[in-house]
Amino acid sequence: MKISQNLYVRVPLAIALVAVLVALLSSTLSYYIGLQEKKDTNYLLVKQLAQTMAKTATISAYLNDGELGQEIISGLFSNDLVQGARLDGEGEMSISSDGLNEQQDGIVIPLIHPFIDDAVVGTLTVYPDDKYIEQQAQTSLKKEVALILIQSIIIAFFVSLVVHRWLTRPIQKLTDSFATINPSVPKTMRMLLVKQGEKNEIGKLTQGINSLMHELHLTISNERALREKTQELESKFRLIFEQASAGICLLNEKNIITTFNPAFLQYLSVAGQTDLASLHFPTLLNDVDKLEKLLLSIRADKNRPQVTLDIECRIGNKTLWLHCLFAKLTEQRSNERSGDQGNLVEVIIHDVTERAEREFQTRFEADHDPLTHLLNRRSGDKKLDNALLYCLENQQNLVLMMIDLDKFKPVNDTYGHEAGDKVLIATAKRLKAHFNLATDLCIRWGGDEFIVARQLMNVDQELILEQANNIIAEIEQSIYISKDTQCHIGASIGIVVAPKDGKVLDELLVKADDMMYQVKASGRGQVAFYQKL
Amino acid sequence: MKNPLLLMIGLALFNLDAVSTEFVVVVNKDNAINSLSKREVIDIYMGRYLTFPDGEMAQPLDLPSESLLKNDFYLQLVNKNEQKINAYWARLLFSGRAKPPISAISIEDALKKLDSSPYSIGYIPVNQLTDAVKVVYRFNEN
Repeated sequence: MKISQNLYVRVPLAIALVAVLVALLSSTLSYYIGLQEKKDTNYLLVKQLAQTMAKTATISAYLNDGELGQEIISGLFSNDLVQGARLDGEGEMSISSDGLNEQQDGIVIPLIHPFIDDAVVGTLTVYPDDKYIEQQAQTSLKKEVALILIQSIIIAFFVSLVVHRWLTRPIQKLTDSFATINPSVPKTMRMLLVKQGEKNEIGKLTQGINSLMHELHLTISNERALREKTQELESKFRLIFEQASAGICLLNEKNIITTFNPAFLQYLSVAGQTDLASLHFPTLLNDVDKLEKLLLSIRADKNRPQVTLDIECRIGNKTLWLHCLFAKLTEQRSNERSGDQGNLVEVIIHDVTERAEREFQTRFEADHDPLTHLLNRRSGDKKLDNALLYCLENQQNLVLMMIDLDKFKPVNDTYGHEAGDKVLIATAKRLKAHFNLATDLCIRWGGDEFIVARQLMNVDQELILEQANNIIAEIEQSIYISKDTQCHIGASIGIVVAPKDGKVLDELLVKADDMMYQVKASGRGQVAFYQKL
Repeated sequence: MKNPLLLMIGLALFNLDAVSTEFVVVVNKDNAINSLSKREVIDIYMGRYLTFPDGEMAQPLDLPSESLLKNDFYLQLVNKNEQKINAYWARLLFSGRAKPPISAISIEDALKKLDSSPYSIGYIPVNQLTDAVKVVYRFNEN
């Protein structure tokens, strides 16, 4: 049997149960106490009864009157309290009731001689009926228990009524009206119904809940408005983040990328792959040491919140120029929370490959002769100056050859400018083939005038001479200007060696020019040193 | 209706003097018994024994109640007045076993009955004792 969970059932049941238990206990106790008392009372009653009958019994015993004796015994026996009785007279007289149990202790009353005080004529023994007394005690116990049970049931019923009326029903009402409230729907958070003038605990509770709910309603409404605002902002920022053309990522204190946007992924992932090759930012950009140093310095330097850097890197088989902006994020909240945790670095990346290439192209075009792709005179002059300075500082020699083409003007005149251009291009290629070291410089100095320069630790005139002659021989090779037309030119070279021949570029150039003209004057196709070594 | 009360007061006054009335218990001259104890007298008079100690039948005689002697006798014998004795016998009336003594009309009648019946036993004041009867018990002997 399932007992209802309702309080107005449970409380009275508990009370009734306790009442019944107490009733049973007290009844049992009172039964045993009462039984003894009744036994004692009964003993007294029986004794009194016996004493009442004693006089007659005495006469009966005195007269040996069996009939009278029998009458007395039957009289006693007819009493409920008496289990049996026996009358003993002098001599043979002994009358007892039927079914007398001799084992029991009886009440013995000596029968004194009716006329002589000091003589005894017999004894009257009466046995109290303990069983009858027990039965009576049990009967009264049953009545008592039944009464208490009825009383308990009635009390339980009324307690149930009272509990239901004053406790359960108001609470049920409260619960019902509470159940209609959904905290996620603030509109339902209206006031709970409270009976007017209810000043008991439930009324107070209801009022308490109402004021609490009022506060909650306000708070939740505010929270909700705030949250909506925040969500709106968040979605805006997210849109910016997601849709930005710039790659954006956040680095933690170990330079691991924690967040990145789609543009970032697009920039730095190999085409066709959806994941970054590495989450370690410096590794991702190839230039590990430099970037780690940079990031370290950004974190250490408090006065430099932003650093920009153009980085060239290879992603797959593409070479990209990335313009990176590093910004230290000092989030106020995170600072408050965990001390010096403002170690996040935001990186914004723009792909500047095109711009870099265009710049490179522009610079190349500015520095080089468009026809021969050798350095033009302006940039060549500057680079020669730099090279000279370097050689002077580093105790090196700079060999400078001024090359002028011979018999170029006739080619130009005979075959036209186009042919002349082809000759110049071919010659430039041949010069470049000879002077192909990184520090070598090949310059188109004028129309058919070239300068080549080489940095050397030790100068060996024979070797230089041989090289110069090789150049002349190379230049003198015939050049095809069209399919079936070839032409021949020559070259005259004047050589100066710094710092031996001079420490100023202009001076050196003039000296080389002079030597070259001397060669031209003395018969072309020769090499002349400003000063013999 | 006031009589019983007056009577009782009279009896009470008389009782004080009654001690002086001396009785003797007597039997027929032919009776084998020569003496009885007080207890034997009581047992015969109160109906316990219907015979003398020797087994002969005994028929006790009472003096008339009007004479006040009967009352005096019972007071001396069992320290109970006549009314109590009457109540005693009334209680035993339906039992049928014991019978109260036969009442004589007078002392003379009693003496005559004693003389004529060998079973009779009676009491008379000692000053009215005759030779016709045999004394078996004297109160003052105790």
